[in-house]
Order: sequence, then structure tokens, then C-alpha cells
Amino acid sequence: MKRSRKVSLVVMGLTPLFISACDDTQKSRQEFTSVDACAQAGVPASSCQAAHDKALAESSVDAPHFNTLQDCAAQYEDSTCDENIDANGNSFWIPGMNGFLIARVIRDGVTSYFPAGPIFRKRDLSDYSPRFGGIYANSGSGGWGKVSSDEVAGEGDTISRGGFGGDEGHGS
Amino acid sequence: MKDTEAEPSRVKRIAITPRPDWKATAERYGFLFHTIDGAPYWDESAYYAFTLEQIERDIETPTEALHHLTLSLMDDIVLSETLMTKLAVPERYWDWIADSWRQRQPHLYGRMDLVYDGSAPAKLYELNYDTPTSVYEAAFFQWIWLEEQQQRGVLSRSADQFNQLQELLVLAFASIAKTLPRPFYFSATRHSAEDLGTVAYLQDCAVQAGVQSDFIALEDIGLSSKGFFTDLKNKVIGSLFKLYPLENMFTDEYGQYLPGAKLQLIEPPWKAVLSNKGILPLLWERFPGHPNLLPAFFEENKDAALPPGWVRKPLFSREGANVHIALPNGEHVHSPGRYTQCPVIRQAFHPLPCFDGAYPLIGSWVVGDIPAGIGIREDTTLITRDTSRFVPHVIE
Repeated sequence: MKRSRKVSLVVMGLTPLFISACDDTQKSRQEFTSVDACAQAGVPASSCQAAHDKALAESSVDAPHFNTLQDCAAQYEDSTCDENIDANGNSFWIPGMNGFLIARVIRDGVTSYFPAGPIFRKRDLSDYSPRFGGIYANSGSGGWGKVSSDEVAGEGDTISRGGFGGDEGHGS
Repeated sequence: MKDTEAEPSRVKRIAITPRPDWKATAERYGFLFHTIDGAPYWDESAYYAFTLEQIERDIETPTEALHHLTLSLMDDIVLSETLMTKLAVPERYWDWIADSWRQRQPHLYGRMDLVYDGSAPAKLYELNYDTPTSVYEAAFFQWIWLEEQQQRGVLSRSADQFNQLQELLVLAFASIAKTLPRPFYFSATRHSAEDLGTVAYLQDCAVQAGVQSDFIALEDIGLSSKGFFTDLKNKVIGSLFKLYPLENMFTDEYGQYLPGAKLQLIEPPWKAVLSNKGILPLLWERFPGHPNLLPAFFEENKDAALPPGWVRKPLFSREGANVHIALPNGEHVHSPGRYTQCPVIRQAFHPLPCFDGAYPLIGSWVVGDIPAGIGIREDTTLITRDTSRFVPHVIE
């Protein structure tokens, strides 16, 4: 026999092709302190709920960890700092989630929303997002802030994107 | 000998009724580019039938031979400034390419385009050794077509196919997995459904080999302050399968960072030498008169008149773009394209055979270094372009 004994697909065909949702001209995100506020801004309530729930679930893991209440309270309101116990029985303190981020991507006229993680309110009223860093100063305006692709990607030291693919190169 | 040897038989093109549900089947299996710009790309209204001897003697054996002849040129090419210049490889990449060859950085696959109708030795049109496509159609959907047509009693149970592509791809991923720095990404430009489908299929083969990977759109790749390439989480990318021509990466803004980025590319940098049409005159110069090669030469003056019986191709042309054929009768055929600025080669005109108005070109696949199967694309003209149709085949 000169052909494969079997062929199979384990991923392809079952799920749509995943294309990274990252067009810097079409992306924005917004911070909400409640699911209601999110829905009032015109985001589907189910997307708001999903973003909130996911952020809450992530918040205890992603929050900044402190050894003592004093350390936590130095940066965050002490009333929001909670004690937690890690797997080894050691205690640590984390601030409580103050709100959540939701990302909006508009591609080819289709708008989609993605959970974008928790945010924590600092004493200086700036906000800290574990995913995006301390860049998200809350203006209180409630608008969709446009974000560049490297900002969306996180707080690493990527200095630029988009330097490949300038030619609409195809296979042959 | 001549008296006892039978006249060589011609390959057959046989009409057949398409499976009534083939489109639904294609979509179920993720074949989203079966129709391109409203015209069918996958065409199962006919198939090509080969004998086992035609496949083994005339396609499989020459494919392996040509592959090894080609690799035998690599040492000389990467060490020669003259040849690298002739191949129009930018100088800043020479050492990087030579190193990748010296280290024998792993490669996955390639496709050579052969002209063959059963009556004479197959002739090599060109090598697509960097960004070959149509692998999903050949490896997977063509296989499914035969299996279903057999199950439905339309084709004989004894029919076979030259198509070990998927098995060999899975094996190839398993064998190179250890050498690939992580994270391992697959990449293509985000707007080509065909390229994205090809990459999704290869990624699937990798999964089946136990190799974990992710996808990143080529346009999303980032550059760190140290000159490394980063993913969307700003992690440095270890290995990158890119369905995007190396020569385009070279001239892209980030190209200059490639040699220093410690990024393992698949296909590796040394493939830049082989996906280049300049390899055709180099092969002819080294192995003149080889039965599977067509005479080919570098063309010093790309604007000179092309004499009848020759074909002019740009070094980096893809999908049959900017090909100029001077037919033996003096007629000229041009294909449009955007490869107007690069150096050209001249290859002896050797027409595609004609079957019922269709001109088939055989894509003969090499996975690792093993001949792995064929896929046939046919067009209604002498130049096979990206609008051609993929037509399945069997071994009778």
C-alpha cells in the first residue's frame, strides 16, 4: 500500500480556525466596577457576567501578594486586603478586586467582547491590572480606551509589533 | 530491447461523479478553501489514474534522486559569495544561512513540481521547498475522497494512492520535536484562508505527534528590546513554523533581526537557497543532460528578447506569477504578477500534457528526505496558477 493507513484530525474541523484577536486599530477595553455598569454601557449582559466571573476567579491568583497586612495596606486600601493561606500553610495578604476589564475587538464589522482580568484600586487611585500592568489610570470617563497591540499583550519589554508580514506572502 | 518493450502507457484522466455531499464533508473536515473566489478549487469530477510502475519508477524514484542532487549542491552554494549573489540572497543573511546548513537544522517538507504524462521521464519544473501549499488537500482530503468512493462502491477496493503524507508528517514532527526550542509557534499571514488552513492542518499533525504548539499571526509577532521575537504574552518565541517566504522575511522590517534572534525557523534558513528558481540553472550546470532536468540558465539581461522554446521565470516568483513563455511557434504567453524587479532565469519550454483540455502539474512531496506522495493541480492554460484546481488521483 502506498498511502497512509489512516488519516485523522484531532483539532482541525472540530473548532474554527483560531486567529489571534489582535488588530491594533480595532481594539479597545474598558473597566467596570459592576456587571450592571457594564450592561448599561451597552455590552451584552452575558459578556459582562462572564468577564466579571472570570476576573473574580482569577483575582485571588493574580492579585499582588504581600507578606503582611501592613505591606498590602501601604499600597491598597487596608479594608480591601484579605489574608490567604498558600499550599504550604504560609499566610499572605492580597487586595480585593475593585473591578474588571473587558476587551472589545471589532473585526470586519463584527464586535466581540473578551474577559480581560481583574483590576485593583491603589491608594493613589491608580488601577493595577495583573494582565496589563499599572498603566490603567482610571479617568472615570467610562469610555472605550483604544489600546495598541503591545499594550494589550502585557507589560513585557516588547518594543514593537507588525514587522513581519508586510508582503501578503503566500505559499506556493 | 526496443522490440520486446511495450509502448509506455499514458496516464489516464477519468471522469467520475462527484460525491453529492462533498462540500459538506469538506467543511466538516475544516477544508474551508475548497472554493476560491467563487470557482471550485477542489475538483473531483475527474481523477488521474497511474500504474504502480509509473508511480514508483517515474515519480517516486526520480523525486528521491532529485532531492539528493539538490542537497548535494548546498555545501558549494552556501560557501560561495558568487553563487549567493547570483541567487540574490542579501549579504547580511549569508553567514546565518550557511550556519543553519552546517548545523543541518531540521526541515519538514518540500514539493517539487513535475511534468509527466506516462510517455517520457518526468521533468522538474521547479522546487517549492520553503512555503509549499496544497499539503492538506493532498495528504488528507484526497485520501478521504478515495476511501469514501471505495466505501460507496464507486471505485474498486484494489485502488491505491501515492500518499503517505500524513503518516510521514506526523513522524517528522515526532522526530524533530526534541530539537525545537519552546515555545513552538505556527504562523501565517492572517488574511489568507488557504494559508491558515494549511497551517491548521500541519499543527494538527504536530499534535498527533505529541508536539504542543500555538498559532500566532505573522503580523502579531513582536520584537523585544534585545532583538528577540516575542509572542502576545511577550515570551520569546523559541521555534517558528512560518508559511511565509524567507525572502519576504529578509526584506520585511524585522528581517535584520533574524540572524541574531536565536529563533529556530521551519523551514530553516538554508531553504532560502532551494526555494529560489536559481537552483534550476545550478542543477543543470552540475548535472547537464539529467533525464529529469530541463536545460536552465541564469538570464543576464531580463529585458532581452526571449527566443522561441524558452520560458523566463523570476527567481522568487510564486504561484506562477510573471512567467513568460515563448512558444516554439513564436507565440508569447505572459502571466501577470508583481515579481517584476527581480533577476530571472531561462528554462527550456516543456509543455504540460493536455488531458481533455486540462493541463496537469504533479506536485511530488518530500517529507524530511523521503518521497511522500503526490497531489495534482490542473489549469486550463499552460501556466499553473493559484486559481488552478486540485484533482485527486489513484493507482490502479
